[in-house]
Amino acid sequence: MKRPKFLRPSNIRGTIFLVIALVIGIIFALPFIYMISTSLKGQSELFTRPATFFPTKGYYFQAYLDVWSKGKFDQYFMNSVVVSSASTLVSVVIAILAGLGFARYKLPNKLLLSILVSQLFPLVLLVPPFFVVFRQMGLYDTHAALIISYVSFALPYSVWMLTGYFRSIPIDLEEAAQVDGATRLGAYLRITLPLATPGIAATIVYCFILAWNEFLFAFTFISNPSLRTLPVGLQMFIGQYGVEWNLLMAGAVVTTIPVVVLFVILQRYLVAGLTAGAVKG
Amino acid sequence: MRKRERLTGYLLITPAFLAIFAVLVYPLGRAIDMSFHKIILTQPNLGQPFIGLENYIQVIKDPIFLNAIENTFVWLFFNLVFQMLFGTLIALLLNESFRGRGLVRGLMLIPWVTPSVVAMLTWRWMYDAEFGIINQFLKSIGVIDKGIAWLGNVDTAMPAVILESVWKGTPFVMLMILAALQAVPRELYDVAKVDGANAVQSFFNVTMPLIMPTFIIAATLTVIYTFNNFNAIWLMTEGGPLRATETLPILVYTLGFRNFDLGRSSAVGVLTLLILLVFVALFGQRYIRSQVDL
Repeated sequence: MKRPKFLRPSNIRGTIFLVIALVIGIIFALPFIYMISTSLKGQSELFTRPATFFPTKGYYFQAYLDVWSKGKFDQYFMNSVVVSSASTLVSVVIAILAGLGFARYKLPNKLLLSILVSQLFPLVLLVPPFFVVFRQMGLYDTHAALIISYVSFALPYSVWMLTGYFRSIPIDLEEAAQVDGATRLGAYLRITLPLATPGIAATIVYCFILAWNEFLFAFTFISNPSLRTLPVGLQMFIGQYGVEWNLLMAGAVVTTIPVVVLFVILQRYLVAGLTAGAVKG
Repeated sequence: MRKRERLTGYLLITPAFLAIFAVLVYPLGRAIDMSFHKIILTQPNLGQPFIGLENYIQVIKDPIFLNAIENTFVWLFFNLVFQMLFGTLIALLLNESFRGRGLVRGLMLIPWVTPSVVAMLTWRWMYDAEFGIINQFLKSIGVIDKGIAWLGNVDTAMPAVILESVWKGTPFVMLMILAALQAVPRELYDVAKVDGANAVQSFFNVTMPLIMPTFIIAATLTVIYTFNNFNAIWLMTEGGPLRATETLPILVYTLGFRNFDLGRSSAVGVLTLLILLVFVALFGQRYIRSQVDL
């Protein structure tokens, strides 16, 4: 009798590795799977015992409809889109300029170092001063407060990433363009920026994700329920509706989908850029 | 010409530094200034009188500050040890070539990609005393016979929050170490083999020295990220029960926005930053050097 392929001696090692790795991978994925499975449970099944991992009394999509109507998720979603896009736009535009500056001109290393140090900052320390300043300026309880405060983490990160990307593009190409009569600015616009597109795209996406996931500032600087972003709206759910966990988990899935989609599209660039040592989070 | 060149460079970085001044340096200056004033949010009629070091003295005398420092170190230590240990082991496993490892690597990325609010809320639900899946699982294998309120119990809250945080942080460490492992040239292993090294010897003599710099960088990032992490704790326990999970960032927040004492909150914030800077100065030099000599 022929043994199945994965049990052949030459493959046993690989099979053992795969089984161990799969078990570990599934353990790490379990909470995520449980989130989706809870969101599909009916209200009555949530509070029956023994609790089960997967729905046993049928799959319900009602929770997904309810989060939008009952939970005001349409509004939170739009607020998150506005705040995340604006802070990303501001940060990345400024960072493109700075990235070119650091990558193409001899500037003191100390300046670049100060960008790095500003990334290490405990952001919670900024909450009391921002709170006071925003109230003085009349920005408390506005999206502008969030857009401004988000620049504090999105900008250092973007400068850091983009400097690295621009440095990885050979300067010879720009010089060749200049020999052919292009101005320095023209060379940046026609040569460097197009070549750096994947890097710029990855930076945009990651800034967007950081802003999309941000909780602390949004939780503190906004009190008007109709201005809340998704993470805060999600967290407030617990208080508002007691423990309608299926609704909460449906909201969690809705919050996660844009992040996962963006991540999957740009996975290659993101993983390379981030593991080069820029951020963890 | 040279001078003009440099000038263009400075012009390009000026907007970034102006913005960083506005959203980081200025607020930091305000925080330091606020830490020397009495600022009670609920009593605006008091004004904001200068009180010198009073906030710092009160904070240092207060046992909740020492409690927060202790919690911060417990939180930091276990997160660091477990994230580095599991991250490295899993990276070594995924560095072996076998079918399906791409899939496993993808599964491992899930905790990293999940927004922290989503992750914390999911874990809160899993930890639920009555209907949570973790209690159900432990009951079914006979470890416990009654549900435990993991997050509501002084003894279990910190381990429970650390477990969640290790789950979320390990994939990043794994990715970094895996990238370093894959950059080790194959030929070095062949040479070691020719020289008669067994697998263990070649691990300690070839692999370890080559991944060490990455290991240190990953550890530094983990320390900084864990130290500053507000969300993981706040969204699970809000620092409770009875301050059992209150770390320094949580204390900054509770003083400011539960007790409405922004002066004292800022003082703790400044002390938190100082402690972090000592850490970075002690352990982070390698990280900083590796990053600046790009």
